[in-house]
Formats: sequence, C-alpha cells, structure tokens
Amino acid sequence: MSDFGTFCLLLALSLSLYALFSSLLGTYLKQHRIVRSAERAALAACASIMLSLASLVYLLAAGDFSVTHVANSTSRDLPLFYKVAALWGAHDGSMLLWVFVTAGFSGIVIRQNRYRYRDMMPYVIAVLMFNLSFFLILNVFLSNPFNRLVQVLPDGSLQRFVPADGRGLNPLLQYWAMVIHPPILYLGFIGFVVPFAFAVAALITRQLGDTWIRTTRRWTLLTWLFLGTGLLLGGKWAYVELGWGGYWAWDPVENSSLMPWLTGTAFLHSVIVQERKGMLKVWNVFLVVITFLLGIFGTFITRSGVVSSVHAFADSKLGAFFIYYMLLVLGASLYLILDRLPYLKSERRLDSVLSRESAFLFNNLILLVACFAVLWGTIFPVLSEWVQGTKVTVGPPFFNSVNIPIGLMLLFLTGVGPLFAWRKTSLESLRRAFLRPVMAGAVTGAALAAAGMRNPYALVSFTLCAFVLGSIIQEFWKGAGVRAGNTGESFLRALVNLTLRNKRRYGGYIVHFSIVLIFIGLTGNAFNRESSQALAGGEEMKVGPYTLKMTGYSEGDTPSYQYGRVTLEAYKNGKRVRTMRPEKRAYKASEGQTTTEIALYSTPLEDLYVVFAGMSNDGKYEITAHVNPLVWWVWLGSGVMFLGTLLILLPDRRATGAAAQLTTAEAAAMERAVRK
Amino acid sequence: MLTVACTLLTLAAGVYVLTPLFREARGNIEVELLAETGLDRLLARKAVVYANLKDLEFEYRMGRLSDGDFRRLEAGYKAEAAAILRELDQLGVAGDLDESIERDIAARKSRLYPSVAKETSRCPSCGAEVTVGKKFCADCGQRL
Repeated sequence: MSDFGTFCLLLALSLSLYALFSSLLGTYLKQHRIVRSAERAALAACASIMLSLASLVYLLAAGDFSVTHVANSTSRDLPLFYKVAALWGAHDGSMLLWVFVTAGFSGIVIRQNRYRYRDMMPYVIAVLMFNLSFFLILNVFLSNPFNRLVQVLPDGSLQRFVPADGRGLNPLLQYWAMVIHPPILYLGFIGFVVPFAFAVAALITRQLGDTWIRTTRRWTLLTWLFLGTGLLLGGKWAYVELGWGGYWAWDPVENSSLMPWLTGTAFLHSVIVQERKGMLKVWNVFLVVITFLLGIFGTFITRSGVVSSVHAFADSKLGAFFIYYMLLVLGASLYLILDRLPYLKSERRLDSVLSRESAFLFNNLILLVACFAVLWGTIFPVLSEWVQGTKVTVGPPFFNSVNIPIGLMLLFLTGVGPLFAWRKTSLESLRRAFLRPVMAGAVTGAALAAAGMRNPYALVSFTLCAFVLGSIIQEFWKGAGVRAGNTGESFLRALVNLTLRNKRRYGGYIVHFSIVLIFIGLTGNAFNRESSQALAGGEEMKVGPYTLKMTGYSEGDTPSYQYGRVTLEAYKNGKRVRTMRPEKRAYKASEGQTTTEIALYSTPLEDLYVVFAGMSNDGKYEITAHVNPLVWWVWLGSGVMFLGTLLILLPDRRATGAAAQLTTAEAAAMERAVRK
Repeated sequence: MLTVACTLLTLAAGVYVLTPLFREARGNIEVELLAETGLDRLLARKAVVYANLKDLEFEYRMGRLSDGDFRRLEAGYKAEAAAILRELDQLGVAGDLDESIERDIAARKSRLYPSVAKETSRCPSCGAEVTVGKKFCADCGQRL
C-alpha cells in the first residue's frame, strides 16, 4: 500500500508537469484540444493525489508501523479519530495534506471554469500546476510520508524494520479544535493560489479590467474565512490545551498565519475601490502576490525550522527550496506587474482626503504596516543571528507595543470608513454622519472613566468600540428606514431585505460588528490577573474576586494516559459558583509527555482559568489561577464573523457583478434620467 | 498485484488525458474574439456608474449627505454616465442591446465558421433582409 501511495504521487507529478507544459503549448499554438488535454491532466493529477491520500489514511487506520509516518505519529491505543487526524500530526503527512488541498482547489477551479475565460484559463492552469508540481516534488523526494522504517544491521546492510508500537500522537494535538485547525488553516493558506493564478493570467493576457477580480472574489472571501477561522481555532486550542492562560502569544507560526490574513483583509477592501472607481489596480495585483507569498512564507516558517515555535515541524530540510520558490514567484510577478504597468493605469485620481476611497487607502496602508511589524518581529531573530551571530528573540512586549496602537487605528477606520461618501465629503455631511456614533463613543468613554477605568489603551479601545458600534447601528437603522419608506415594508422586513439585497455591504458591516466584539475581548487582556500558590487540602487562595478552596485530589489511569486531578471549589465574592477539576496527564505512548487539562469557568464578564501545575517539594499541589476578563467575547465575535462572511458568500438571486444591486427596470430608469 | 494496479491506473490516466488530442480537432480557439472587448468594458463601467448613482441617492435619503454634496456628486456621476452613453452610441449599441448582441454573435460566428455563415438577400415583396434558404419572409410572410 505504501508503494502504491508513492506511485500515485509520482503519477500526479508527471500529470501536473504535463498539464503545465501542455496548457502553455496549447495556448501558444492556439489549439484548444491541447488545453483540454491539459485540463484533464490536471484533474487526473488531483484524482491521483486523492488516491495517495486515501492510501495513507488506510495505512494510519490499519496501524502499519513499517511506515515511518505511521510509526512516528500514531500508536495502537489511539482512538480511530485521532489515528486519521495523525495524517497531519507530523511533517511528511501534513505535507501530503497540503498537496491534497492544493490539488483540490486547483481541480475545482479548473473544472468550474471549463467553459469560461478560455483565453485566461491556460495560464491559470499553468500557474496552478506549477505551484502543485513544486509541492509535489518536495513531497515525493524530500518528505515522502510513505517511506519505510529501516534499521542498520551489524554488517552494515539495511533491513526493513517494524516496531511493535508507534510513538503515539503528540498529546497536545489530541483536542478537537486542534484536529480541525490545521486543515482549515491550510485551506486558508492555499486558497490564495486561486486569486494569484487569475491575477497572473490577467497580467499575461493583459486583461486587467475587473474580470479576474470578479471571478476570484468568492474564492478570496472563502479563503479569508478559512484563514480567520483557522487562526481563531488555533487560539482556542492554545487557550484550552497549552495551559498558560492566554490564546495568542505572537508565536512565529501564529504570526505567519496572521500576516496573510492582514494582507487578505486589505485586498478584500481595496478591490471594492477598483470595482467602484477603477483605481488601485497595481495595488490589488501586488496585494494578491504578497498574500500568496505570505502563505508560502507561513509554510516555510512552519516547516523549515528557522524559527522555533510550539507549532513547527522543526526537523525538515526544505528551507532553501521555499526561499528559491518565493524569490522566483516574487521576481516573476514583479516583472509582470512592471511590464504591464500601462494596462494598470488608474481610471481616475483621488478627489479628496475626506472620501471613502482615501479611508480604504488608509485602511490598506495600516493593515500593511501591521503586517510588516509582525513580519519584522517574526524574522528578527533569524536576521539578528545572521548579522550578529546571536539569536535575539522578540517577545510579546514588542508586538503588543507596536500592534496595539495599529489595531486601535484600524478599529477607528472600521467605524469611519463607511461614514464617508465616495469622492468627496463636505464637513456638513460629515457632521450629519458622525454625530451619533461620536456621541456613543464619548458617552461610553466618559462613563468608563467615571467608573474608575484608568488604563489609557482600554479606555480608547472601549470608546472606539462604542463609536464603531454606533456607526454600524446607524447604517442599519437609517438604511432600513429609507427602504421601509420606499417600499412600504414594515421596518423589520425592510431591515432583513436591506441586508439580503446588499449582502456584500451589510454582511461586511456584520463582520465589522464581529471585529468590535473581538476587540472588546482583546481589551480584556489589560485587566488579566494571575496568582500561583501551593495548596494543601482545605487551604484557600484568592485571585481577583474569586476564592479557590482545595477539597480533594485523585489519581487515575486510562488506556492512553495516567492523570492526577485536583478538585477545587470556586467562590465568587463568597458565593459558590463552580467545582473546578484541573488535571495533569502523563501520556504512555509519548515517552511520558505530560500535559495540563485546565478547568475553565467562562462567563461573558470573565473567565476563571485554573491550572494544576504539579506537586510542590513539600507535597502540596501547585495551582495557577487566571482571571481573564471578556475572553468570551472573542469566541462570540469569531462566531459572528463566521456567520457574517457566510452571509456575504450566499449566492445572489440576481446576476453577480458590479450592477447586482440594480434591476433592469432601475437601470432603464437611470438611463432615461441621464439622457435627459 | 501492485504492478497491475499501477499499470491500470497509468493507462486510465493516459487515455483520459490524451483523448482530447485526437478528438475536437476543429475546436481551435480564436483567442482575440473571446477577450474582454472595449464594449464589455464600457458596459461594465456604465453598470458601475449606475450602481454608484443608486447608492448615492440611498445615502442622501439616509441623511448622510448635505444637499450640496448630493447635487454635486450626482451631477458628476451623471456627466460620467452621459459620457459613457455617448461612447456606446458611437459604437451603435445603446439603442437596442439585444439587437446589437445578436449582431455581435453573428459576426463572431461568421468569423469562426466562414462556411456556415448565412447569406442574406432581400425579400422581393417588402425589401426586408431574409436568410437564404428560408421559405417565408419573417417580416411580411411572402413565400420566397
């Protein structure tokens, strides 16, 4: 079975190389049948990769420990669910998953556009297949998950070797969010290859109108959704499994998934300007290229071992290949952009600073500054090692001090942007639009200050949250009012129809709303409290408004791990709220690796987060307790963000395109008005 | 067993991939014809300007714009739309879109398949354009 898997990968590689060359040849000779053949080769490559993946899943499920990947990442006692999830539990297999997702995306795009964009598609196929071939080569020749274990005999010869049991899946990965987090993140990293491929095809064919943007809009949004969801699931996992009390630590791998998310967000906004105003064309192409590259960079960070991280597969030798690949992509894209500059000419200039265009532009710049700050902090250790010979790590204080102001600025723009009119807004119009949101912010800020809040960042953040919330509510409220007046619908009905008829805009506002919720949660970090103490039975400790009283300790054994469990009663202001049972586990298959299972009492106001850190020297139980205010809102916000994005992704009832909001009758009326 | 499976798989893939090369010999693409045309771009821009106008009106009614701003922006968009319509008129499109699309298709068809292109002549009775080979005139019903 393992040989079959390798064979399928090799077959896929040949097919994708064939597709790459024949699509280019077909378009060069203007022979459509050659392009058709290339399409089929691409699809066949996808099918072959699917077979290969199926073989690996089979090997994992069957527990064939002669295969290195299976022996390294599973064990006999592992539940079937985790056996299959172990596919991405180690570097080789996760590489295959990566290739599979790449192939899946490529296949869907090629199949979807069989009868469309015939002039662009050969190049799209070529780019997709180039990318797929690169990863396939790495997968087959440098990190083949189907490699067999061998041992060296005393006489120097090699022999196949089958261990009695595998080394087990890293216990930290045995958590539901962790099981779905990598595939979703991959979907997010890789998906940007589709807009990238279309952007390159548009550059090559010199069709730099809106076609490529409209075609890839949904792909971009879907990919962005996956990336965001992957990030938040990763945060959830870190919060619940790693036991250090937080969900975001500016770890290099976290950063590397945040960066494409930031540039992707910038892209989602700036395409609106291109569609509406015919501006920012070069910028958009550039953003797509950068976002795609950052996705590759993320893989590079995870897999090359250049920076150390909890998430990285440190032991791989792929680094140099990724660097060459990124340089190649960057060089080729920049050449194409420069060469096609005349076709990317803006259709008009910025009329005024006080316009929605410029708000979009600011939002883009700030997102890119944020991305650059994160990038700088992420690669600084590597650069410092090159330059000075010592690795200087950059900790959370750097990231926080840089990114908190940037984040607040972005939050501010989230509220401001939609209030500006396109082109130019007079002060009178601004006064009308800003009056209520500003009042909402000011009242909130003043109330919090009066209530004794002194942290400047938190005050600014909550004030801005209220301001943005005010502006969003105003948009929905007034919009529904106008619609109700126009159509005679009830206010509620008008509100629903308004949202459904303009999903992009109002879905966007819902996503903005989710950003506000997430910022409320993030701001809670300013008020985190923590306390560590060794407790004996019956003793108490205090953290924030909570008192924890130790009432018991028990030990136990399960097939895969042994555990020690502390029982604590939690009281808030003297009233009992919850029994907390944090655990410490030692996994048998993973050479006794220990993990903490935290106990969590989560309310909208604050989380009580209790960790059993181990036994102290004098036989007491070491307890670390955190009170993390408002974390709940981060998860609520992610849910809302997910739903808001889904709303935008819902298919339109009318034809898509820039004119989606106009019916034929409306357009005709408009035409008559203009002709007058 | 393994060899058989691999051979079958390779054969299947080969047949699937290579068949188009031996079929569809006629279906060559004439790339230029399928590219974005100037007309496409004009129509898209017109749609965008209309959408902008509609939004502007909506935002004005929401009370977000002063009267002055609204009139100034509206005039700007209308001038833009008028310019596009003039260009479209020059291309001979604006009047009846369906008709011009039909014409466009016919022109593309005749360029792709010159042999199939329909010849036309005049109806002897009313003078309307009729396709050669039709039995009746589509305009007046005269037997041809």
